[in-house]
Amino acid sequence: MTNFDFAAIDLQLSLIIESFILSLLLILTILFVFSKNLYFAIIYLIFFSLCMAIMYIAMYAPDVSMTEAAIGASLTTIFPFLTLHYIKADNQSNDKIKFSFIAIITALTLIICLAIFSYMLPEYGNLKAPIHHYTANSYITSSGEEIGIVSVVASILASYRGYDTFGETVVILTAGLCVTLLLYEKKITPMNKSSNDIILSSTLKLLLPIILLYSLYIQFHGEISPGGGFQAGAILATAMILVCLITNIKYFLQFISVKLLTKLSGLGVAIYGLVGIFSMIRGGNFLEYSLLLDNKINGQKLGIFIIELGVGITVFAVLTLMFILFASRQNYDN
Amino acid sequence: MITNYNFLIAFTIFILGIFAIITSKNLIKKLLALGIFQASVLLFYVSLSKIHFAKIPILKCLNFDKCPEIYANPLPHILMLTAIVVGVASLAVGLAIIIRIKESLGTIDESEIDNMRD
Amino acid sequence: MLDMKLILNNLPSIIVILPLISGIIIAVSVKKKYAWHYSFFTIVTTLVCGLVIFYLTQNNFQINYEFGGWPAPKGIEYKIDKLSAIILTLTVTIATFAIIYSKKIIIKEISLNKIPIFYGLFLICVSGYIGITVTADLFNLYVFLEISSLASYGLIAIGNKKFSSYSAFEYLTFGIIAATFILLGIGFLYSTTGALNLYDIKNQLQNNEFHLINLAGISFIIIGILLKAAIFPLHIWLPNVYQNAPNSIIIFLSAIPTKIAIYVMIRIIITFYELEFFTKYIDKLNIILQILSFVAIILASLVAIFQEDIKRILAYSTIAQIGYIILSISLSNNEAFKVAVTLMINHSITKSSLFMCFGVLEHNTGTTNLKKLSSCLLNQPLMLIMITINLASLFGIPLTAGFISKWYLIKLILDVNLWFVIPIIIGSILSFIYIIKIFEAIAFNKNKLDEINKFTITKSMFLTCLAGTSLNLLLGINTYFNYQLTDNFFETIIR
Repeated sequence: MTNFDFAAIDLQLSLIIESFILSLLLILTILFVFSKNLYFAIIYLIFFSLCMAIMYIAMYAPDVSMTEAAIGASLTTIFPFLTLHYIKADNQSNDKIKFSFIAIITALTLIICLAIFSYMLPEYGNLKAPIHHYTANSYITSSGEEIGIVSVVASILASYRGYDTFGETVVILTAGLCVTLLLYEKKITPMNKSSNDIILSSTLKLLLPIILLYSLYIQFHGEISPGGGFQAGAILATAMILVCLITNIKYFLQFISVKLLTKLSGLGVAIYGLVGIFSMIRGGNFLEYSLLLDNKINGQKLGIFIIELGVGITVFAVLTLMFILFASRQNYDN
Repeated sequence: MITNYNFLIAFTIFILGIFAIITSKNLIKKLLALGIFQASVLLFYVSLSKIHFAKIPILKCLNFDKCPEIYANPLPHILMLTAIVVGVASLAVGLAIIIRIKESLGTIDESEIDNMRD
Repeated sequence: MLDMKLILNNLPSIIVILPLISGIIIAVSVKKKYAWHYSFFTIVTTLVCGLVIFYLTQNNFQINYEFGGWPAPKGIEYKIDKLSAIILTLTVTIATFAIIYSKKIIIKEISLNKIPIFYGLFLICVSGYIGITVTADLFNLYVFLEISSLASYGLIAIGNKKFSSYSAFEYLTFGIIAATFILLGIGFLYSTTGALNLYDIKNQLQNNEFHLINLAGISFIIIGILLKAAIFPLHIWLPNVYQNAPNSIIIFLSAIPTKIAIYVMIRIIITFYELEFFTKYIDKLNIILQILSFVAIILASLVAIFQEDIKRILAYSTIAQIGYIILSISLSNNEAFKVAVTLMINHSITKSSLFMCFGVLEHNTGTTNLKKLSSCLLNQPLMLIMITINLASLFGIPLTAGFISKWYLIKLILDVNLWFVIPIIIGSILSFIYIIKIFEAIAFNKNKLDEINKFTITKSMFLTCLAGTSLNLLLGINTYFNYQLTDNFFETIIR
């Protein structure tokens, strides 16, 4: 058996495999909670994110799995590593843990209560659960004809609940602005040393075009396959981080400066907002794409295309900017 | 046969996350525990959306009546995309604040900061 | 193209989008000299839009708006009624005060090249709170709650006090726990109904058998809200944030975030009010809330007496006032919600005016510690009068806004249960003690005034202090703008 096609395996076997991955998640969490060394804690977190990504595939959620792997597993771990490196003193990368008896007993009691509670929830995987019969049904049956896109996730994300996605893009922009407010100093000279390893630089030369092409593929094929702006922006940011790590940041900043990244991050959200405002001007509500062009379905497709582009630009710019700010802070003398 | 194992594990990780937030003294560890705590809620939501032997939510053909299939529920997927991004955003802001704490107070250990305050 | 009808039709989305996009443009690409001017223009335009919405809803006109043109369960919709419009106008008014106040003094707290990002983040924060008040979709509420919270963490951490960043970190921890509890609660409600729109959930819940899960969902949401609103055992983040945030921000942050959380709680209770399983639950919840609010009122006022910093005293006074608001909500009848909204409006105006006046004090003496204040205010009669009026409003002396709210609160409690008045009387006596303590430190100060540093105040600071104090007096004299706003409350609220 080389392909793990969960749908074809018997129900019991698939549940056993999922239970195994979930138990692994639980063991990783317990290891994380009781670990004293922070570097180990971050590594447990990487494995946790990867197991979550596998679980999402097992639960038929490829979009979420891709986002978790692209944003969760890679970026959620590089920022803590950078912070730990900046803080540097070894006695501060250890956590003093004293577990009081009361805390452990309270935690166990709460777990038992919630465990009993979890059996009252609708049965896992059952088609008769209440949530499958209300709006989800109408999304699946009508989204193909109203919007004309094969991926239901992309059509809900970008069109039906497009305003939530707008809010989400603003969230990540706000995080980028907060990090800029806190960490950006004009006087910082970025790091100048690079690793002169020949294996790393040749690997970079081979991998970089492939990663860039892949991120563009995910950006523009988000309507046909799992993908979209968030994943593409994250993968592009990862490529830029790879360049910064293997060459040096000063070299990278010659091509894309911090000012440009800041303006790009605002540009993405501005594109999103402009599509909405344009549809308001054409007589509809905010983000009503049907009115952008004369044909409703073409209008929807155009709207979704443009806003995914805006989302991808913002996510890429913000994540790269955050990496550069975290990595350059250590050269700042207070 | 245990069926709602997903929910059980999600709640256990939820409680363990809060436990880690309250008991750890290092600020970075607290922040990472916040991340795990948020991840447990994501697991809960996506477990709600699974239907056994369903197809992933990408339509086989645009007109649903011509090829009716059972698809997994796409709505929790979208909500969780938002939640993952919110989690990363909070983590980044938290780490930037921790760097400023280190610069202004000199330590990132909660018990030492409490001593400093009195 | 700038058709009046177009703007009026799209007003609910304009009032959120305008500060949001302007904030982003200001943060990213505006010259440092003009950042204040652009943000002033934006917030005044938002205030005008807010007043138009307020006027429309006061004439019993309910505003519905569907994003993307998709009708309610499929898409996200906004529903604005009287309650939303009142809180909305309050938010934008106090944000206007904060921006005007910060005109020349922002440079003392934040370095010049970060000022555009500061104003941009502040506008994003304001638009996040506006988005919470007008939305009818629970997940949209979560997203905008996160927008405003993230912006406020950054704004607090940039303060130049020693513990600013640590207070921001504590606030971040509590805020993320609260938001995740709310998300889990939304998940429980979603798992039994399949809907995310608040009114849809209410319709679906009428015939639903999963009672325990629904109650668990509502409980998780309420616990998350209580964390954000700083109710007694969950208030730990509040005093440190009030003490260490930058002066321009604390005017806004002392008044609005906790009130928005209480608004969400009122919205949820009113929407689910008529469901049978919810009524039995709410009776038990009310008992817990009453006990917590009594403890909050007495204990917070007691602790405030022993504090040495004016801002910490005001923080504990806020915790006591939130105790009053929760007490009135827990009495759960039509009159109770009217009194709660009155308390919210009056307390916001009072607290932000107090922080504005004490910001002037800190601008001149450099400290707000009661023992180290200089006697710079002894020769400034107008400032002394303003501080006196605002402190009087905190206690509840007639002719001020605080008196109106205390009056209606005591009237409500006397109708329900005579014994509940006792904690309020104890709380008022204790608050009198710390108010006298502050007043004595300012008006009868024995420290010598440093002759070199005379008293300075900028025009914008003076203007906003005057505006805040006169608004306080106006609310105290004429109850149109607080108590009578909520006439026909229960009939016009969407249920």
